[in-house]
Amino acid sequence: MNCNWNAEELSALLDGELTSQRSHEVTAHLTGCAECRQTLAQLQAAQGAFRSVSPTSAPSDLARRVLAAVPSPVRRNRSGRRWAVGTALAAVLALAVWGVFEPPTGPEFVWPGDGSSEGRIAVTRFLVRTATPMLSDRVQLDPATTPALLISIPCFEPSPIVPGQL
Amino acid sequence: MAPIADEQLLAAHRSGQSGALDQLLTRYQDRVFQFVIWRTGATWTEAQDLAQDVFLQVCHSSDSFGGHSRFRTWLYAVAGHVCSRWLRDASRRRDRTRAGSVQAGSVVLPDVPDESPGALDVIQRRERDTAIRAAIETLASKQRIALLLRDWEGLSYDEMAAVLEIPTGTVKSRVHSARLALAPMLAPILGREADA
Repeated sequence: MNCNWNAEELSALLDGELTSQRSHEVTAHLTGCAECRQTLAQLQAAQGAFRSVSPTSAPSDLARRVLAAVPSPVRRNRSGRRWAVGTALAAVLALAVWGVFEPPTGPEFVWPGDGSSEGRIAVTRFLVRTATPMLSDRVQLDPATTPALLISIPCFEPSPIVPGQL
Repeated sequence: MAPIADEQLLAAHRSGQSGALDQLLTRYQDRVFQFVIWRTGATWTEAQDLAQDVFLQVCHSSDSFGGHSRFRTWLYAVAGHVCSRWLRDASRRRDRTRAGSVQAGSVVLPDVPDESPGALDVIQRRERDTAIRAAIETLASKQRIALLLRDWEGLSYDEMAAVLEIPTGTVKSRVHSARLALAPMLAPILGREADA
């Protein structure tokens, strides 16, 4: 190796960015080249000097301003959950109402039983009872008000719904 | 005890743990503030707003941090984008005043009580730092940024290339040319230390 090589490799050597083989080659060259050793020493001094100084201090109230402007992740998550629960409840209620007032017809859909209102009620009740525990796993539904909400749907009878077992 | 990793602090912040964001701010606010000054040449006040934007962007985008890179690499990538956007907007505000701007890197030296122990050492240390900083300020902005990411943040050349969106070879060249330019300016300062 002569000195007509890429001198950038000296900085790369300092930074540990050379491959093991290349690092050995450069080091071997340095052993016999005083000029490159001097350059390496200058680069090392520059590196050390830069590391020894501190950056300009940020304004003292920067952190306070950031913290004041950042919404709490907890509040943000709760807000998102409320939105999701509201949407899901609305979907469940829509299904329930649809089951009572808009029974699907056609050969591809067969209501359980004899297709009477009891069958539709059974399907709607199944949908609501399946969806509600899924919701209650994610949020704390109020057992005092949720059954009242559900039994307000015409297809529901109050007796099968037990507060606290949703 | 080893300090908590940046990535863990970000996860803690996302889960709502108070104090996690404070720690990240404490770790990075000075260097990010320096980064935006060097990257944009903004005034002190503008740089404060920019640094604030960087951290707010980090918080708002924290869900998108997938852990494929180190937090600090992602942080400076965010900072780079915030600065680029600001520079684009600034080009449309050429008439803005720079009155009251504080030159990047200028250091206001506080009065040091003569009677305090080691006062002379403190003064000499500050003089040395001021001289080194003055030398650093003569470098091109791109060179200073390269040294900040390499020597203060310890980013690899590949990580720097990702942050700066330039080839790794260019990173290597910038780091080397920055040190090469700095070396002769530092020689008198470091030479005095060697003689002392």
